[in-house]
Amino acid sequence: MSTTSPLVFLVAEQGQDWPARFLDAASGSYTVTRVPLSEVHTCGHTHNGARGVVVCHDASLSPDLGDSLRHVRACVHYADLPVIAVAPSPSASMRARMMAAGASDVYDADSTEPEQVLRAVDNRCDIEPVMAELHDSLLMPFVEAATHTIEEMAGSSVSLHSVYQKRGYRIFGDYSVMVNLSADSEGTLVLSFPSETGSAIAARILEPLGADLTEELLQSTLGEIGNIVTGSAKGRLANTNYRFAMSTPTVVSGHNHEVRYQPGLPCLVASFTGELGDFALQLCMALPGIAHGGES
Amino acid sequence: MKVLIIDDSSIMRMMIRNLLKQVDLPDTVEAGDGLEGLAALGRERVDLIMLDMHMPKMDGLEFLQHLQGTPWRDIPVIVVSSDSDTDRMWKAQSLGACAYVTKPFRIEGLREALSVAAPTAG
Repeated sequence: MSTTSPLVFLVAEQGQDWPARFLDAASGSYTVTRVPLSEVHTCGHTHNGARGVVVCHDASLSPDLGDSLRHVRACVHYADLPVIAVAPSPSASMRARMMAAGASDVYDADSTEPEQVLRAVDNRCDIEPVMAELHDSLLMPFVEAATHTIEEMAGSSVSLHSVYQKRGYRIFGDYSVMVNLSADSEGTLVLSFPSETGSAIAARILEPLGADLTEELLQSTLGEIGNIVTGSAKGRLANTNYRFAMSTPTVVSGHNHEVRYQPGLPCLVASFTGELGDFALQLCMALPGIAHGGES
Repeated sequence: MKVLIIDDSSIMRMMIRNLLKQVDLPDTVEAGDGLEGLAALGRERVDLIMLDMHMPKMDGLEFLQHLQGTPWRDIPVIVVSSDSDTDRMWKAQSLGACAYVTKPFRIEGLREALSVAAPTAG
């Protein structure tokens, strides 16, 4: 039987002591890919398939780790991957800033052994492949609906980047459009956009209308996209076990906000990439005939 | 010809207004839900209604039900909805809607709906 070492990304500048010790500790058990903090924004999709990301902070190199963590979150396509920040003697306010920017946890480099951080990555990893019976019959109609809607409304091509399943609540993005689904299948659809993507899509749609992009129009546009994606998927699923009724959309804004689903339900995630930026679709449903282990 | 656009989304009202201009129907009045739509009908002489389905307060199907008991029941209605569920389309049609356009739509979709709902327009 062949085995593959779990992949962990280490974001750190050269010359730091803690990252060198981390590489030693991980050697043999993990595959570690190192990326300099100053180049993390250029990483693109390279984090795909990783179990987690460890970001080492050096205040002299990057005074604003929050911004670096935002880049890391964008690079992992807003997946609920554990992103562990390691910084020398982090103050309470620094910890709070890092957590708000997308860190899963913050460790003190002066008192934390690398093995402890590797265990944290393993314990926190919440990503699994999508159950085969849900991939084609449920998730793909939503993926097709999202792709078609963005392409038709914004005239911009979109492609599916990755799909996975998670149980975590946290959603990484600046705008989330939520539509409640009810009937045979209860659940929530969430479309999450980083502000750059949301603004670029809305601006493209507004351009032929001669309207300036305002916060109100931005949220109205993203809400309508959520409405159309859900309606289009509803039609595609009308003759299946997954038929549902839909609510009007609600738009939530704010960096890395948290959206609570019904506890214990699996959340299917599809992340997209395109010329106007990345975004994600998250679908959490109680599914007829599909067992799920959480409370209801 | 004056067109009443009933949709809770301001961006969708703008998009519909823009498409209507392109087919020489620039005279529009707008409402954000079914209740506002009924109020607009009491104020303005309207020749055609473009109606969204999913709206707060009074949705599209409720609006069609109310419309049947009013003097404006003969105004042609084009349903413009994201909901492509055929059951809902049939229900709208049974309540008097002339045509059903699924969002997102282009000018060709609007022309086709107008050819059914208001053959002399556009």
